Amino acid sequence: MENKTIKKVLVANRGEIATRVIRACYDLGLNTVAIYSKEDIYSEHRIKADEAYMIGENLSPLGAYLAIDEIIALAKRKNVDAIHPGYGFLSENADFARACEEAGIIFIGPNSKVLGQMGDKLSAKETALACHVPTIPGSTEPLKDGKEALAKAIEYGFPIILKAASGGGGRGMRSCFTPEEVEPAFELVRSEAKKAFGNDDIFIEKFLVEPKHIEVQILADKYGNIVHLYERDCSLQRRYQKVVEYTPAFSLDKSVRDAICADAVKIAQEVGYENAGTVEFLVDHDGSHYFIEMNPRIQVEHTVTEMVTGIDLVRAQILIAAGEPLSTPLIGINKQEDVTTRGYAIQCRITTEDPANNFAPDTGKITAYRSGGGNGVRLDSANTYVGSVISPYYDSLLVKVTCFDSTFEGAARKALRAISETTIRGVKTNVGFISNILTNPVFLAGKCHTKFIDETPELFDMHLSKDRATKMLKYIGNICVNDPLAGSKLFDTPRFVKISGEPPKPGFKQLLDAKGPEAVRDAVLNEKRLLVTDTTLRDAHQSLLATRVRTRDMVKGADATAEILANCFSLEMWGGATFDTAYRFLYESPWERLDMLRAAIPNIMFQMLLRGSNLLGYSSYPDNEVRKFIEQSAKGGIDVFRVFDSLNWIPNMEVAMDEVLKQNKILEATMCYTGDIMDPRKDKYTLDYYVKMAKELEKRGAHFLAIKDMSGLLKPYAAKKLVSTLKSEVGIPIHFHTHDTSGNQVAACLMAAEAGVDIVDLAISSMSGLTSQPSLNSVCSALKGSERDTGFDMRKLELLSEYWEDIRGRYDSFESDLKYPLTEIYRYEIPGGQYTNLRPQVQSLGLGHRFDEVREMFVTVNQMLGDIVKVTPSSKMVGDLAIFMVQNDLTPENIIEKGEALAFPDSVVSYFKGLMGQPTWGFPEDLQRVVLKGEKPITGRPGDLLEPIDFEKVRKHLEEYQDPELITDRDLVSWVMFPKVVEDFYQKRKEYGYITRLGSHVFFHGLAVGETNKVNIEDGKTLVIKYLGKGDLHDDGTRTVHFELNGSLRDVDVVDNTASKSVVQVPMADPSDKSHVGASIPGAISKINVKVGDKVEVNQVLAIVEAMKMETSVTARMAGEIEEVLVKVNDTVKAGQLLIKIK
Amino acid sequence: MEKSQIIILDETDSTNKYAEKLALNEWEGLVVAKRQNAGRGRLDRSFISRPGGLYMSVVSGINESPTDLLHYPLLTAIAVSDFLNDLYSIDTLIKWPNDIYYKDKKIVGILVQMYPKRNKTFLVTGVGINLANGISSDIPYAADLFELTGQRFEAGDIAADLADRINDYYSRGQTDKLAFLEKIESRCLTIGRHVRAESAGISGIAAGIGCNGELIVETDLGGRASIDFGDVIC
Repeated sequence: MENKTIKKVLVANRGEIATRVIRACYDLGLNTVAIYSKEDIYSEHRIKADEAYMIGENLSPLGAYLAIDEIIALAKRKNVDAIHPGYGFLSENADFARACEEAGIIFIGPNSKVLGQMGDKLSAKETALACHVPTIPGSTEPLKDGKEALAKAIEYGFPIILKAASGGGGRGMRSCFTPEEVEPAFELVRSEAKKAFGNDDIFIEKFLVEPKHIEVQILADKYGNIVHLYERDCSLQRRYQKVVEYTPAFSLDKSVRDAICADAVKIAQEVGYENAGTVEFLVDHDGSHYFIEMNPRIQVEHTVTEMVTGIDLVRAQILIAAGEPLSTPLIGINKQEDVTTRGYAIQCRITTEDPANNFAPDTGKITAYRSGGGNGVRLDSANTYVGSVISPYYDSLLVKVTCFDSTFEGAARKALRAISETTIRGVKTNVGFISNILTNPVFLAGKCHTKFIDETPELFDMHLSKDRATKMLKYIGNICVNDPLAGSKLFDTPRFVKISGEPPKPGFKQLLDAKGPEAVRDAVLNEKRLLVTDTTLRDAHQSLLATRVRTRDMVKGADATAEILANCFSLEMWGGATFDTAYRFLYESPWERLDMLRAAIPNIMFQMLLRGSNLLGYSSYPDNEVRKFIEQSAKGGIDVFRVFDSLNWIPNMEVAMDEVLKQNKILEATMCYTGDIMDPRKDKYTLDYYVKMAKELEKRGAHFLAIKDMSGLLKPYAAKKLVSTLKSEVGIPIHFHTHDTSGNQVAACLMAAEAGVDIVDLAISSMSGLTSQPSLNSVCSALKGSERDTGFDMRKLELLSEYWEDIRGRYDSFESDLKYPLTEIYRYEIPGGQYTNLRPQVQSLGLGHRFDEVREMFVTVNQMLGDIVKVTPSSKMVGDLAIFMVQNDLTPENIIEKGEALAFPDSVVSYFKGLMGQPTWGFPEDLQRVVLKGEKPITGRPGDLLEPIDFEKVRKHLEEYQDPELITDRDLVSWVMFPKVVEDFYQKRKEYGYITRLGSHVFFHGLAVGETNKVNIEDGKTLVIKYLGKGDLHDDGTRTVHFELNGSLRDVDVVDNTASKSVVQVPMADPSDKSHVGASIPGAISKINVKVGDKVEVNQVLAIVEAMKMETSVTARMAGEIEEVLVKVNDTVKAGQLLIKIK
Repeated sequence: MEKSQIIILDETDSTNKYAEKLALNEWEGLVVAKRQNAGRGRLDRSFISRPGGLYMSVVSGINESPTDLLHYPLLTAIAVSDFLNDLYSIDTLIKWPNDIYYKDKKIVGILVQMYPKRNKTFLVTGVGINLANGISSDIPYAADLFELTGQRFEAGDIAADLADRINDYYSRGQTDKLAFLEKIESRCLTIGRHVRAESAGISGIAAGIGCNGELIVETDLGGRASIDFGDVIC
């Protein structure tokens, strides 16, 4: 194409628009000249032009592009015909336009006179009035008084705003919504203005509430032809900066849009406009539009107009400046009707503003850049390429993504695609923020107004639920980064059992509630069937999977359990180690587990294991704690309390037993089985011993008697003998509990059943065997058709087992190595779980090569102690002593002599002190003396010597961690047993709220790249998480992890444990943790007012950070004592860095 | 500023120290003292406050986060500079970051202290103006405006108006940020001079003002650096 007057164009701008203009020039076959500042030495626009020259070497970064004289001089030297000023910088500078005109250079834009006119807001308003285009109704002369103000207010319609002539940006203005407000407001504004600005001229204007910002693209040639290219909706602004723009403004009536476009043309005609320009309007929610101003230049968002009209605006600008009419083929507009639009276009500005850091523009070097593309995606990039350095001197625009489709939703979806395909590493971006906007329903309906972004905090991720979501992503991200096996296994959905959907069959639970424990006892005695307690939810996984099964997996199988196991006597689902483990490792509350299971399984009794006065802990608790805990458990839904003592010492069980009876729940008093009643050589734990204990327990009111065979020592024939004898000696039902470590215990259960045992503990097949209970499926199959047929549906038991099989797979990292039955436990009498831990424990002490010695020593120690019952905590004590003796080469013969000089392990000292109770045959005195070294042991109940817990004090203490309204008795009793664990749990509970809802495979193993996981949160909402991959390692040792959360991109930074030690990790303050005191701005520490140990009050100034000659105080958000000061004076700190910790 | 928001003290140790307590309690307004006996500059350096000067602290609550307010000390300088220019019909200059000079003598000292609170950030803007306090007899590089211009204004008459001007500029601190920074650049006497910032280890010629008000320096070793905290010796 032959251009008459323009051959060479200089682009007086930088970044994205400079590239845009250079491309348009190329399309026209023109030569291009770029100018660049020192800072822009490596910028893209310089490289794209035919010639490029540095300007403003001695000027500031901004000043360089404003150096009119230098630019004109350069243009003249290089024979430039025309200068395109882009947007910003000199584009609206009448002096520059004039300088071009005087130098004989074509300024691509309107002439300097029009430019000057448009720059003056007041004359722009006059122009509008002259051509009857509505402007915001307002006074043009200062108001005389309040009365005039009121009169005008009524004329314009409320609401109105009173503005001081010299004011601006929020000062010296007041809005009024009703007539009564006007006169007082007028007086106030007037006096404020006089004082502040010395000028009390007040104007009044109609106040637009939540207006839309609509602008119209104008194109005009030198021959008086002026057309509009329809409107753009630019209401999405953050602090007056446009973020997302689109066309058409479809949520406005066509008639409104047509009127606005027509008025835009009128304004352009009135001033005799030439070239491209934009006329801006505000539209009130009633559809009235008001002219604001005209921008006499090309705008950032011109791309959306180009997409829907098909007209290249920047090329048109150059053609017009060269003297071409609008009808020239490359513009093709003969008349207004030739301008048609098709479809919808949306432009998103991707910038380096980091929404998580209050939109502060990030700077740095781009290390990776992949752009979106494909159907309907147009990219206009700034200095965005791998290796480019984003400096702080210029605006933070990286790339404009403009998307086009036949529907708005389609365009938004394409924009979302383009954005999610965009990868930029090395600088933070606002991509997550943009995607939040694109998926926001108000945006999709086209209803955004100018204050929408500022008023919608969800867009900034500041909403509390998003905060928890981010913490969940951090949790998953941490596994993905730091666990080498993360995501390596893909798990199928578990096989959920299809249930009938009918309400669960009523069972013993209903009988207990209606008629009480005795009725249940009698009903059991009359039962022919062998009754079962299923231990899948407690002892089974405690034995096999380190107690790690999560509430979620239990609850998901609960309705199947309620249906299939309706016949069970009870489900053992609480107590033991589940309490501690839930809080500590699973971030769950065991009480919530109880509530959820109780609600899902209303028809089966719930059973828990209780260690006498030790409850669920490891030492004795005061009586009032024991009672309160049992009361709370009963209230929460526990029906059967299996109470035992680790030495079979009944006094330690008394208080607990008494409280269970008081709560009118089922007391299952327990004898721990040890030894071998069939072995005549063993003279302690004989049949008589057990009969005597059983009778004693019956006398004390037990409803049921439990045989707790914790080590699986009760062999089949012994079981037969023991049960049949007990059946003849006591009148209460017998409940048999054992572990199948030896492989003999299915047989033991069958023989016990033949001997008349009432209930046995079994576990669903896929969670049974070895250190767990014998298989429920196996025992029931064996008894099918016999007198003691359990009555379970075998096929359904298989299905339930399949569910647990799939669940168990997710806990594979907790499986022990045990693959086959062990009969050596008969020799060692060590409880199964402890036995499988013994080797790793011994190895960790460096005694792996002496493992056999340790095992044998276990037997020796037991004998030395006089043969005691070995179950937690006594079994642990025996183990500790055995290891101790091997470590120190002690024997039963030399221990008294050598022991004088040795300090024995804590558990051993506790035992001999009598803190675990009194063993049946007492303590070996010499050994006791040597261990205690003069300390006097107790001979009574440890609980007798303990001060009652002051629960009020506990409550007060917990107020630090929990809202006082929310503290319940449950919290109090839990804290008494596990103070630190419970405190940690409260602190983390908010963080981990969503984490407990993750599927177990994600909870333990993270996600594989590209894997999606759905999490159901409260209110029926679902979070859809997709793991996109790991990002860069940062200088501070953290790594970015990329996720998609409900379609929006979300990045989190997690600490990479493999980062080299030389990387310094700056600890960051947790804004929700009041004990953390952080820096609110980056700067240097200029003063530290406190030291470790100082007591501080709320609001006390602890330190000063200095930046920009401003001293920012760092204050305490809670009262307390200084625990740690992590910085010193003159240290440089980042915003958010942890400075001080308070305790 | 409403009357109820102004506190006038005959004497205090430092109006900034007094105002700090107010800021921590989220009170906004103006504290003026006729005399300070422990006036403060940065890093606890003393600010000599003889009678006859204007010593005041403005407490402003701003709905922005601390990281968006880093250029406010410079904003204060422009506000005070514009105010004095209008009042005395003179042309004051600014030594980066916010000392105000006239005829090569320091006439105003400013100390801005920031207190981030839950929902707002509070600024205590301390301004000390040598109106007619004979300061030049104490400090050779300072002087008062009466001595330099022959005009005399009373502290009590102008304090509230100055406070309003400062708050007005603060309210436009985001929207008009670039315009303010360009104004400062044009009035900054530091630009073009050789400067040294010890703590940052930077020395060179001051070249301009960055987008957060930092001083951009062409370093002696070549290349550009920016200074945003620490002492700058000029």
